[in-house]
Amino acid sequence: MKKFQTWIKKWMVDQMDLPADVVMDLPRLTMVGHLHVYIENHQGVIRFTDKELRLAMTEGQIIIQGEGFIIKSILPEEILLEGVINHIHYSDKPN
Amino acid sequence: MRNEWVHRAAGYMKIRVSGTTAESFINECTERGVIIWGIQFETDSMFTANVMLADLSKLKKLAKHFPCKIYFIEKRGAPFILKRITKRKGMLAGLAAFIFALILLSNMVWSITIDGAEPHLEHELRSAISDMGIKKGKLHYFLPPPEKIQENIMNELDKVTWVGVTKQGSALHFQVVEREIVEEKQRSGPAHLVAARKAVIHDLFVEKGKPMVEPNQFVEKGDILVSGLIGKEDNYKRVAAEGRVRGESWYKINVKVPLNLAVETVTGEIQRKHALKLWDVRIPFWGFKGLKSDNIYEDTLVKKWEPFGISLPLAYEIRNQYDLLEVEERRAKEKAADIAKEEAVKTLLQRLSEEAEIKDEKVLHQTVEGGKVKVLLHFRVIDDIAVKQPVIQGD
Repeated sequence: MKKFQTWIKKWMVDQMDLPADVVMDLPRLTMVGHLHVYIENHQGVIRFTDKELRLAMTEGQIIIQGEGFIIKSILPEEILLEGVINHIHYSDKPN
Repeated sequence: MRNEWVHRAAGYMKIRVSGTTAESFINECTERGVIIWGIQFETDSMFTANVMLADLSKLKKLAKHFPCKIYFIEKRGAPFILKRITKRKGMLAGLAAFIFALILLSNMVWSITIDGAEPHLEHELRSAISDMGIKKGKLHYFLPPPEKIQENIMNELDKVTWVGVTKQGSALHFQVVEREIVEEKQRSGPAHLVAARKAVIHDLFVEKGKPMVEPNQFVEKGDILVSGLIGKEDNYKRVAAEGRVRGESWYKINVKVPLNLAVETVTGEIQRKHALKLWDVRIPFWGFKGLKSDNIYEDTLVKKWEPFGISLPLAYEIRNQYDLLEVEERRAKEKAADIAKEEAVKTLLQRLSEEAEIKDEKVLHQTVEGGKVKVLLHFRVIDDIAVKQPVIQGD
């Protein structure tokens, strides 16, 4: 059933031109150079140090790595991170 | 940050949290609705962050249930600044006094200017204004509005046609238009014009009345020149005779002018003495020498210092001494005679009216006697000789 739902959503995104982050509940990342990253639609902070930020997604995690991280602001579903961002990657590791 | 100003206005605190990891604290905060931002990692179990002042109670509750220690490092924003300011009573009082003084002084009348009025009317207007209570240093707040002042002045002063009163900031400006009063000619009763002195009529111009004389006629003092009775003898009318009768008369004037004249002149040598004055005690401190001369002219200048209208007993005195030289001026006889003539004309013109015209002057006699020139002068003068004399009723 869940797989079917995901399939439907994916089909809607592909065929109906709807934004994927809304339909499929995916995070949207906005970056300004390597200075800021603005993450919407995350599911909570898993880990925060000055070199790494891990955020929970519906499935898996976002791992942001760099130096001198400061969380400029944090709201239930949004986060603004400042610092030198070197690396962003996704992992399928469940929460 | 967009909300930086919102945060500053509402007040926020910088906290240091230890004994827990940042992520668990952040999640706890979001769960409890505590707004947290500016999170900076320090060590694995310590970090700093900012929280709103409004969330303080929520934060306290959180600290009770959550295993962590919270230290407040800094307090920032308007509420804390206000609190710090209120502690400084003197500064607050000063600020209040300043604002009070500013409002008070800007509502005062600082100057009253009057335009377009003659000095005597200006004086009258000034006293009328001050009777109304408008003086320097009064508050605008307690004064009637300019329109009212204008109305009052126009009612009070009848020499004024119009007054414009305008308030320019802290100054009151009065623009005056004076009423020109046309003096009515005094309507007199029936009168003759008679001769004021012995004279020969030169010319006459009669506006009203019956001329009784002709040019070149000799008249004695009191003779009727223009009669106020017109018409036939039985059927006459009384009028106020008007006109101008000019007559030629003669004057003899005696003038004495000394030949020698002592004149004092300044040689140019000046000695200045400076002194302080305390009540009547003079304390000289500069210029002790003085002039070595017998003939000295001295003038004294006292400068009083009056701060804010308070006269102090202290004054500064400057005394100037001028060396004088007496010079005897010798006049030639002819020059003395000229001076005598000038003086005679001067004295004569003082006795006559403005229209008087000196026709001729003659030196009758000139003698030198005891260092003086004696001159006897004769003048022929043409002047108005008509004087009004009322017609006696029942004549």
